[in-house]
Amino acid sequence: MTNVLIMKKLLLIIAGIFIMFAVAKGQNDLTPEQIASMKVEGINCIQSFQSRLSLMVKKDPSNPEDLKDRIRTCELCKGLFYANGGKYYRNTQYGRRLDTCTIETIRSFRNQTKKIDIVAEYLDKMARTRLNLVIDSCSTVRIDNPYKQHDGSYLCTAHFYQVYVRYSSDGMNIIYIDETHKTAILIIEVIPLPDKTVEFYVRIEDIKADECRPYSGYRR
Amino acid sequence: MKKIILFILATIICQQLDAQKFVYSHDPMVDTMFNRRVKSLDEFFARFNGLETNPDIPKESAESRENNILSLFNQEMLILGQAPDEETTKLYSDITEFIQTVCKNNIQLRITDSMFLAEAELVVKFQGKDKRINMILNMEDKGNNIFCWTFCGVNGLVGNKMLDTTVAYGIRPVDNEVNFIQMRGIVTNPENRITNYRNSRTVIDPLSYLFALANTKQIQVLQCNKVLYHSFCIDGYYFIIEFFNRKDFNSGWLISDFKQIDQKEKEIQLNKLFDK
Repeated sequence: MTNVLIMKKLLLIIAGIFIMFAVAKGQNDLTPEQIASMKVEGINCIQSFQSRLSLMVKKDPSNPEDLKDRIRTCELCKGLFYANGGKYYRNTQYGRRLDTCTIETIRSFRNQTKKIDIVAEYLDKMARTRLNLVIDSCSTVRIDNPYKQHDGSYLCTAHFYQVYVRYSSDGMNIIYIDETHKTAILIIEVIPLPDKTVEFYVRIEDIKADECRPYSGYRR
Repeated sequence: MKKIILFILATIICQQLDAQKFVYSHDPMVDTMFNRRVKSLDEFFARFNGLETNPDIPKESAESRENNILSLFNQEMLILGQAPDEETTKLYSDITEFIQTVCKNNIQLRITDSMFLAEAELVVKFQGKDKRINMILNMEDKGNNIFCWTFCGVNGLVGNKMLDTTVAYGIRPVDNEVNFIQMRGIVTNPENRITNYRNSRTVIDPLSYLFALANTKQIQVLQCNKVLYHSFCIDGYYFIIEFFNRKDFNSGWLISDFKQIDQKEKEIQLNKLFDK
């Protein structure tokens, strides 16, 4: 009888230890190395967005072939955003909520009016713009520490700047050079792999324009 | 005629010169400036806690953390004039003492600290007019390592006359005999301000009042103008972290207001922040 009781107690202790391990695993806290590789993925995602946007506006919109290229690059750009930069249902702890990927833009340094657009619409507009623009992508991107979400994904912010150079239609004069500092929210999904490592799938959600100012760099 | 031709030629030459003068090329200096700037609160904490350094400060130096914390102060408030006044000199010595205390005791600043508060300036529409109120938020651990910003206070309701806490009159003493006949007018008519009929000992919590306004759709949030942070985390010190947008090495999220405070002053500051 006493043996049965001892066995029961032992089983309870073993079950307790097992549950503790399961809970600890459920937290899915990332190691510093994993956070570092997550940040690298975040930087890559922002730099892809920057280079695709720069590439898109480089093409001449008056040439039909180039316009096709522009639209193709625009679709690639959208692919970097959550729900392709459009509307989506966000799963929150309170249920599903309709949301959109938004981008905040500042008109120019002289006209600091802020405007909020849906990302997909903004990119479509950029693909069809007739303005003679050059968008320079920055080489430095700062990624902040990630925060865990209820659904197991992570959220973090990325800070970067873009330089918008607008040339006159003949391409001879520069009308303005504005430097815009931006902050983007990144959604990072952690995908466990069979070899017990993890892979990160990064997408951009919202982009906010912090400030717009005349280009602080050297002009020649 | 000659003059006109010369003028046109001069204009064309000037335009050509101008076009050559301003040709855009990527300047690595902009990247350097960008790296120096404290771009986010996360970067502020990383530099304050000694996890990251300002690119101008060598990581290996013995006084790396001290210098990093000093670089997180808004330098405009530290610049001593030709004849430094008593206030500036005291501020400088207070800051030096603060930095020494932080480094000596290895004090770490955390965003999740209950005494680290964010203040968001909101533009709201109330009774057809635009008003500015400040929401106070702090970060809360919702369990399982999930953190969220949560509302913990509001200020500006009294200042904007959205809430009147000074007047406290009442209902006529005989109204109980007629089943408080005036009550209908007091409650349903917003001009009457039901809050003015409270017992003078009853304290109105501004945040609960704001929640009621929001739930009854009497208030609409138009936009958030700016955010700043108040830190009461380090005993004996209070400071504000604010965003400085300037073409300078000392820019971004910086300490804008710094005070050495005792418990009494801390309560005064908190009451001011929570509109109590």
